[in-house]
Amino acid sequence: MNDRSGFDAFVHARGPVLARTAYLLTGDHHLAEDLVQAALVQAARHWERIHTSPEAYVRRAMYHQNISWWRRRRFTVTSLESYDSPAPASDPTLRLTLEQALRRLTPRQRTVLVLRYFEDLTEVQTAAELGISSGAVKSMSRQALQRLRVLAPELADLVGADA
Amino acid sequence: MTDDLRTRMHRVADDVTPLPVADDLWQRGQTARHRGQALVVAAVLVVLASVGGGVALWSAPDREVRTASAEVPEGGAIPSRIEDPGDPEVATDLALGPASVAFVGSGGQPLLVTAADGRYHALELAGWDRGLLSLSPDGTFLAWTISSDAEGRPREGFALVDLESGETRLVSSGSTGSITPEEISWSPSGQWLTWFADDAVSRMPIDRVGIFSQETITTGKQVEWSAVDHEGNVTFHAQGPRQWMRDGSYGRMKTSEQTTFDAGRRGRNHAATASPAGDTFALASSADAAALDFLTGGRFAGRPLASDLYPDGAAVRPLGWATDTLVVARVDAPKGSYVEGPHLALLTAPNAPESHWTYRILVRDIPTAALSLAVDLVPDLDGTSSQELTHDFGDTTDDPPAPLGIELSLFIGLAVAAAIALLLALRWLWRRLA
Repeated sequence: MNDRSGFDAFVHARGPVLARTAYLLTGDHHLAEDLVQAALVQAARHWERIHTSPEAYVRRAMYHQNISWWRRRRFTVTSLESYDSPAPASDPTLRLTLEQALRRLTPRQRTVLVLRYFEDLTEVQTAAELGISSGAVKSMSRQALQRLRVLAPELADLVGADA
Repeated sequence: MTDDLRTRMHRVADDVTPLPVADDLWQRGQTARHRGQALVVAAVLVVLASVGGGVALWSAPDREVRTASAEVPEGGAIPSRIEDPGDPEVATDLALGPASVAFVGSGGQPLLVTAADGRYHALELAGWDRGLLSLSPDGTFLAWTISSDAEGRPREGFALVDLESGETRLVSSGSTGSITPEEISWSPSGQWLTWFADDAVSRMPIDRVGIFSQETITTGKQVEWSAVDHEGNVTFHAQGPRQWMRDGSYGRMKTSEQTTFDAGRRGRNHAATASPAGDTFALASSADAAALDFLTGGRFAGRPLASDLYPDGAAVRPLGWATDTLVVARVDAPKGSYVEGPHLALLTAPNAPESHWTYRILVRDIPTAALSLAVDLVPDLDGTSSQELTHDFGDTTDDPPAPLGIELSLFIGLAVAAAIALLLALRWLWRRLA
């Protein structure tokens, strides 16, 4: 199998899984699509070096790329009311409320939650993926859950009062 | 609780519709890769070129090249450095313009430094016998001794070239036969030339029209030096100082008894130059004296150099007069002197009060072979020690710097190739070990 076919096989096999993670990280279909494609372009660029374990590379690229994009975007599109105001009570389902609440976290907080509760990584593994200390992961995770409770009180049972 | 969150998040993710994936991801990745590699190579080349340029400048023979002052005084200047240029291009046309310095290179070829730009020129001098080179005070004429004429026939005497027109003339050295001069001396105005050989002394007016009417007298005694003033009166030494006036009269010069000069400390064939006023003559001295000898006011006088500068003595040879009281001289000092080796100096003659005496080094480390200077290019002193008496023309030798003895372009090429190889090796290692 040459490089090109190996890359195509990887995209075909793991693309949907990566897309799920990307959606949770971004909370937006278009951003998720861009995030996956940007990470895959990076993977193609360095395929010679990463072809033995490409998924770990792509995931890490997605985590860092998403935070990097957010840093650039927040200076242009973020409005003050985006944070810390409760979600509209008119949301009919819990799933929508969770999605909206996740969107209002910072990408770092959201990424920590995705890694910890979606990817099932430990604090140490999460810290290693993001290149930060496990103490920072613990702190960010606690702040994220606390914020979820503020943003969506109806999720209190979901995220736990002690979290 | 957090298990519930985990379940909810999976449920959210499961509901995500499959995202489209572009077909050209691989191509875009490869394009980005190649672009990155090109950028890295370009950056490396820029860095190497900068480093190579810096190294080349640093290893240049003299870093003062970069600080050469731009303005050349009107009429030209004496260069602040006089070095053997190696093997400069030979000038076939001798109409080079006024020169500041003439000397013999290490390869035995006559060299000229043009006054306006400080550039070195190797000369193709007809009949050159590797003997004397003598530049007129204003640098417009060059005389050299010959062993053959332009056609290669054996001939003794000297030749003269007008550096403005390039016109060359052969001059026989005496009326009794062709004899190569032992020394040539210019009048301060550059309008007269005197030379001697054995017991004969000659003089000749320098005429740009080209009519050179030389005169010669035979003394019957060995001539040791001769000098001519701006009127054509020749003073020479043949068992005592003698004068040969412009009107043809000739006789022994009266000298003061109490200042009998130790002529024995000078050997034969020494340089002598007359002052612009014609009343003082600078004479060469031997190495152990550390003094320049003068004949002034009818008596000989030594002008000692500072003993703390030259504790072991120095040979001093006059090259000409910059003013009525300032002499340009070549000083050869042994090791241990304040200024070692051959160098050019400007010093006050004893025809000025001793309280006005000065001593300035003009150029250090000059070539050891015969050197002649256009002394008119030395500026008048303004009384400050910071006055620049010479000019830094920068790098005028046309020879590129040769780091590690390799030609510069080859050196830079090898350095770039080595750096690229090192970079590729490091990259390969990093990829294998990362």
